Amino acid sequence: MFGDASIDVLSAALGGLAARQRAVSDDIANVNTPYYRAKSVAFEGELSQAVASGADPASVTPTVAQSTAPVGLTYSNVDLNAETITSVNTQLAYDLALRATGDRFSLLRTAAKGA
Amino acid sequence: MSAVFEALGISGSGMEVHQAWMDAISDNLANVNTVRPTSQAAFQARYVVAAGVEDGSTGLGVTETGIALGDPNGRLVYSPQHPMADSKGYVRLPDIDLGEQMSTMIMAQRGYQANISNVDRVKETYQAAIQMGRG
Repeated sequence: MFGDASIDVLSAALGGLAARQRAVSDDIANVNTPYYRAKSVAFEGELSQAVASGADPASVTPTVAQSTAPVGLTYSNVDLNAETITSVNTQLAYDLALRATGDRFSLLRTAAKGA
Repeated sequence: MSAVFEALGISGSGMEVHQAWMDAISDNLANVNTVRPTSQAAFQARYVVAAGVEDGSTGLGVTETGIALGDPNGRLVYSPQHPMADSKGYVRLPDIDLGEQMSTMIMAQRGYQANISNVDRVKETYQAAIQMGRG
């Protein structure tokens, strides 16, 4: 919409970060579940490739991978420290992308209002 | 299926399962000295069985799939003064290890707290998203 590529890219990034936040929530919910394998979400690589090649950022789908780290006391391999850091990191990145999207929209709003 | 504010529900499922775990441990601790005559089964400790809910993607949290019970044989204790003692002077006590239960309780408690902290972070994220475009 509006022929603005950055809003499409930011929207794809927000989708990927939201998926990562869900994966972290799932990992923390299963921190003591036997045989549970921690999940990680990747989308940045695919997104930057799409930006470089001019492909549609909306076609980028986040991929979920399972961790092969050794298990802990309850046979779950969730690392609570790593999950907390990922969670805070994802939250800040999400805030940043939201801010950028909001700023982009306010530029458009200014342009739409005219002088 | 992707519900609105899904991550909150995922953390909620984690809180529920850890709560059930703490309840089971509390019950085990409360019955650590429950005496039965040797003709009956001992009090059986309860163990929560949990499994992740998978959707082939980021997952949907955790669920309690059942309760496993401890050893019905318990342990025989020689206590001839006890009113429930059999002709040989034995009573049956549950096979519950206090130290194990207490340390498991701490694990359940920490797991519960980790899920609560995540609810806070997820809530902030969603709030930021709701506020978008207002500034």
